[in-house]
Order: sequence, then C-alpha cells, then structure tokens
Amino acid sequence: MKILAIYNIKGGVGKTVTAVNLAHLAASQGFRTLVCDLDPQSATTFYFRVKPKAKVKSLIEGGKFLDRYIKETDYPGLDLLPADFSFRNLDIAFAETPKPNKRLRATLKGVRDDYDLVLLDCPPNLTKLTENVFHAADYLVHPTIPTTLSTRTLIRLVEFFRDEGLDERRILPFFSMVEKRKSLHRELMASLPREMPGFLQTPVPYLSEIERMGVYREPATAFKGQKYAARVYGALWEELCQRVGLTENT
Amino acid sequence: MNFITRFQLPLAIDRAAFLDKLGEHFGLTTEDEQSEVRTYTDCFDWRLYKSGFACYATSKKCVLEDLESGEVTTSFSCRKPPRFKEELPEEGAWPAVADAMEMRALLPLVTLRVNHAEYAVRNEDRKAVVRMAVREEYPEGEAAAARCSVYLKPMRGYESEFAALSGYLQTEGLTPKENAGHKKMFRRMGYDPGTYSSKVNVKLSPEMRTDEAARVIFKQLIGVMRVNMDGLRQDLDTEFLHDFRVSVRRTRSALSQIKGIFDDSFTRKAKDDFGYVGRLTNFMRDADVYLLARDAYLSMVPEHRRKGVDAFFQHLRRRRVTERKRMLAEMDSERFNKVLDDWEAFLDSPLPEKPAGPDGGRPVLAQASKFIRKRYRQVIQDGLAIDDATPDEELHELRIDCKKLRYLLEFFISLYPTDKMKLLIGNLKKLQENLGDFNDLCVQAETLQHYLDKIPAGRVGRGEVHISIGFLMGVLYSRQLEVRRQFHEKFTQFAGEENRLLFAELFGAKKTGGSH
Repeated sequence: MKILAIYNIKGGVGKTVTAVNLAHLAASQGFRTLVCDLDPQSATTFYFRVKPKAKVKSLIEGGKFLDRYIKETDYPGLDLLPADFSFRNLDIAFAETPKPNKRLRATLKGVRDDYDLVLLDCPPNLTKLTENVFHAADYLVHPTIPTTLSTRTLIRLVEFFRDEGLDERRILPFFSMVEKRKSLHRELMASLPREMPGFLQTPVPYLSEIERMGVYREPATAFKGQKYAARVYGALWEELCQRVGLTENT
Repeated sequence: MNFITRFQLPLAIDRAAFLDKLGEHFGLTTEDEQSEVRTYTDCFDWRLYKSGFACYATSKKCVLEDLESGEVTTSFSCRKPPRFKEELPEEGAWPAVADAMEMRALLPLVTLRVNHAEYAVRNEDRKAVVRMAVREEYPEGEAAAARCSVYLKPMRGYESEFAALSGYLQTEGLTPKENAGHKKMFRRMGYDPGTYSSKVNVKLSPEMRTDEAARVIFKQLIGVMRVNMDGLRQDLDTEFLHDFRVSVRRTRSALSQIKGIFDDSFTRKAKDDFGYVGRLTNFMRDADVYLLARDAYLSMVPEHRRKGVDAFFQHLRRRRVTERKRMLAEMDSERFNKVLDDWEAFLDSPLPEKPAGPDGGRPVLAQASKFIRKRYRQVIQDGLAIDDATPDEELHELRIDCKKLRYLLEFFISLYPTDKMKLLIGNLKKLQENLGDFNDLCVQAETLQHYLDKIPAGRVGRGEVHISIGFLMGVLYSRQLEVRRQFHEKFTQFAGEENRLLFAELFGAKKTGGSH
C-alpha cells in the first residue's frame, strides 16, 4: 500500500481537484483506492456526493472506528473517508495522543491489506495534523501555482523538512493552475525546476472544465464527452506512478 | 460485478412496469445495458456438466461458468465457438475443461438471449447507494417465455439504503432466491443433463427369466447405437462411432455368451448381422485411433524424421474421407437398416410364454453365475499356460477371453453387490490394460508394415518414409517387448487369492442339500 498526500500550506492551489481526479484514475486502473478527506471544508466529500459524517475518533483510533465511516463512491474500487466539520479539532486530538506525530501513520496501517493506494487530501496549514501527514505519507504531491507566493511556500516546506530531519526528496511538486499567457508563469516554470530537481514534468493548466466539477459533483476525469482534463491528469498520474513505483494491478 | 442478492420477478410483472414503479420511489440511473445471444455447449456425454462447468459462446467470446452458482469462472475472446480442446487457452480453468473433454467435441445445446442492465439507485444527492442489475433471459425468439431476475449489491457505508430497497422489493411480491446456477436451466430447456452414458446400466432382478433379462440388455445396447447414429453420420467427433461400435461388439458378445435363450439359427443370424454392422465401421475406427494419437507418434521419432511419419497420417486422413463416404452409403442401405429395425422389432415383441431356447426360462442369477464362472476358469487356465516362449497369438486369445468376462460382469452387475463387482472389474481392468497395450502395439506394427509401400511419398521421398516409419516401428517394438515382460506380473496379480475368493463368493455354485 502506498500513501500519497496532496499538500500545500497555501489554499486554493488545486489540492482537492488533484486528489479527486488522481483517485478516480487510480481506481479505474484497478488500484484499490481510499481517499481521506482531512479538510473540514469537506470539498472532496462534496465532489463525491457524500454527506460529511466521520468523527475525529476514526483517524485517532482507527480499526472499526475507521471502517464504520468509510463510504463506497460511485466509482468501482474507490472508497472515501468523508470529512466532517469536527475535523477542525484533529490537531488537538493528535496532540493528545502518546506519539502525536505518528498517530495517523499507525491508523492507516490498519487498512494496508484493503487498499493499494491511500490519498490524503490535506487542509492548507502546517499543524500537528500536517506533521502527522508528513510521517504517514510515502510522498507529498505538491500542487504549485507558478507565482512568487506559491514558490515561497514550497521553499518553506523544504526548509521545514530539513529542520525536522525529514527526507525532502519525498516532496513531489508539480505546476498547477498554469496560465501560459502570463509571462511570470512561463518564467517560473523555466527556472524553478532547475533549483528543485524533484519537480514533476506534467503541468496542469487552469481549466474551466475543472471548475465544472463543482456543478456536476464528479471527477473531471469521469466527465462524458469532455476529455481534455482527463488527458492532463492522465499524464500527471502516469508520471507519478513511475516516480513513486506504483505498477498497474492485474 | 458480483451481485449478492437475487430476486425472482414474478411472471405476472413486466420488466418495464417494474422499473417504472421502482423509479417512483427511488432515484434510478441506467449505468450499463447489454444484450447478447449465448449458446450453451457441452459434449454429447455431458463431460463439462459432470465436471461442474457450464460453457457458452457468443459471437465474441467463450465463457466458462460454475454450474452450481452460475458465476463466471473465466473467459476468452473468440469469433467462432471452440469445438475441440485444442482450441481452448492453456490458462486458468481451461486446461481442466480440456482434460474433461478429451477427444470429444463441444456441441450446441441451448441458445439464450440475455438482456442485462445495471442501474444505480441514488439518494437525494444523486449519490449511488445500491447497485442493481436486471437480467432477462429467454430462448432466442421466444421473448414471451422470458424469465427476469433482479440482483442487488450493497455499497459500503449505505447498508440501511440496501435494507430499505430489498424490503420494498419483497413488499412488491419479489421473492429472494438462491443463485439458480444452470442445472435447472438445462432442465427447463428440455435437456436431461448427465443421462447419456455408453456404459451398460440395466437393472435386473435375480428371478427374471434369462431370455427376458437378455432382452433388457440388448435393448439398452441398441438404444446406445441409435442415439449415436446422428453424431456418427455427421462425424461430430470420433466417439459417436466408438460408442456405436462398442455396443455392437457387446451385442455380439452377449449373443454368444448368454447361451440357450433363443433358437440357434436365430442367434446365428443375429451374430452375422451385427458382424456385418461392426465391420462397416472397422476402417474408420482404426483410422481414428491413429489420428487421435498422431502427436504421440510424432514425438516418438526425432524432429527431422517426423515428415516421413506425417506422410502416413496424411494418407490415412485422405483414405478416411473416402471410406467414410462408403460407410455412410452402406448405412443408408436397406440391409443395414433392416438389421437394426428387425432387431428392435424383435426386442419390442412380447416375450413368448415358452422360451425359444432350452435355458431361456431359467432364473437369470444362476445362469449369469454359471457363465461368469466358466469364463473366469478359462481366463485362468489360458493365462497359466503362457510363458516367455508362448506365441503372441495366445496372448490375443487371452485378451479376447478377458474382454468377454468383462462384458459379462458388466451385463449382470445389478445382480450382485455393487462394491465387490466394481472391485473385481477394476482388478480385471488392470490385466486388460496390459493385454490391450500389447495387442495395440502388435496391430500398429502390422498396420505400418501394411501401409509402408502404399503411402504416397510425395515430396518427402520414398526412402525418407521408409526410414521414418522404420524408426517408429523400432520404438513400438521395444515397447511391445516391455509390455510383454510386464504380463506375467499383471496376470499373477489377477489370478491371485483375493480375486479367486471374490469369484467363489459371488459366483460359486450353489450347494444343494441343506446347510452344513
């Protein structure tokens, strides 16, 4: 079982759509996939048409407390742990456990026989919860808008990893919400990967098709007729699979 | 998708009406719709059925299902339905199917139209909460006879919705059903799976008149001949002819072994008649035996010699075509049909009050025991006389005696304890295998010798044909010696104490004069 976190300290960078689309692609290729919506805003949960319901206990205790809240989505092989407004208290709950940074890792161990892949959709901040994510995830997929502020948050994250003795090679940034007509976007996309060799090479452009996910409440990769987003995320997923060593299930 | 709960839609409820009504209570979206024509197949003697498989072909694929549950085991793509085991893939469960089929062909049985639709039952957020499938099947062209099943599959986290829907279906008169599998389906379509067997399987009672018992046996044998005629004529596979011949041979054997039941001249004529029927098929069976073993023969000679041996098979195949035409023409002749018709008419005629033969009126049990005893003694006597210097012909004699004994045991099996009879037949079979192998090898050598100069050499060249066939004959000869070496051990086993006591116990002469 591989655990991938979709993470950025900043909000509005395309984390949720990345989590939803990649999860759908993974499941459609036969990977038994679980998406955990850790963000109390519960956007991922909304896209999958599930009602927010899970309790904090599900992630702290795991086992039957986790099992009880997992929902099957409309897509074969894809399950969801829905977020809940109570997840705003996850930080405090994690802090109160005996090993406050490694609790999530232990919880997810409990489902390693059930899934090939777990995707964590993380809230935008740097708290006890996100530290748990850093320890639990094998890789952090980092949607990065090619802007100065976004670049700064990425650099901050790398520094944090260094300070904490975490392996920064586990951070896999890719360019998100790219607008090629903006010269700043073009410049940063040329320079940043030179400084950070771990950058994934597939950029995801800003697409109105992706915004429509909120209207249809389904992954853009599952849209009928519109295939551009599916192609873009397909390429990103393929590159990601190679990078993290996920081989297709038969 | 594996659906776990199945409901039978009552015949009175139309599928469309059911869906409309359901749509009033639950959000419903169609996820998938498929319609296909499935032709279920099996061997003539139900080999797949007996091995727990059901197999169908569509215009695109061939699918294997579990007979009991009806669930798909495996499938492969093919445009034409497979007929012989060589056309099946060598993976998954298919090799087990191939082993069960052996040399038999898959024949079409039932053609079904299957309409399968999958639906998602959705809640107020349009989230799928239960998976549902509706499957309708009917014999192609008979939509009025459609049977419709509704399948439900729960979705994780939506158990209460599943319970609500299945409760609703039951209030609407749908009954939960076990997965039906295919046993019932075959019966509904008018088949009686697993019933055909070329084996003698007659129920006799000990006090029955011997001539009456013989008629029962003969009737079953002619029945097997008749049911195989169609497949034999169409050459669907080699076993129709084989089973036909075995029944002819058994008929002749019964005519000569169950003595004193008919008028002598009548018995003689019947034997001649079935002799003629059997001879018609001799060439075909010999050719089939060789052609079935073609791969085995080719593997006996080195790769570079195989062309010469294959020339023999090509020749045989061509001759089989002409000989088959001749056989079919003869089977349409007046003589051939009269033999079978007259024999059947005789067997159907009322049993005469006074038996035609001197022993016809005796109870069958005593007569059967007498015949078996006599034949057993002869087998032992002949076998003991065989040593390393005995000519091959005498082993062939013994083989025929053993075969006669085997037939007797099988004709009369129902008169004796089944387990002991099966044990005895099994023990006899081991000896018969040795003698049969020896005979086959001798006959093969003679056949190859016979054909040596008749095989058109063609591009392979006469010299090459001679060398290759010579090589093959050498291999066969060394096997022949080996088999003959093993004879003594096999015979000693058969003639041993265990069998002697069994024969005495089952068929020993009844002591008269009270108990002692």
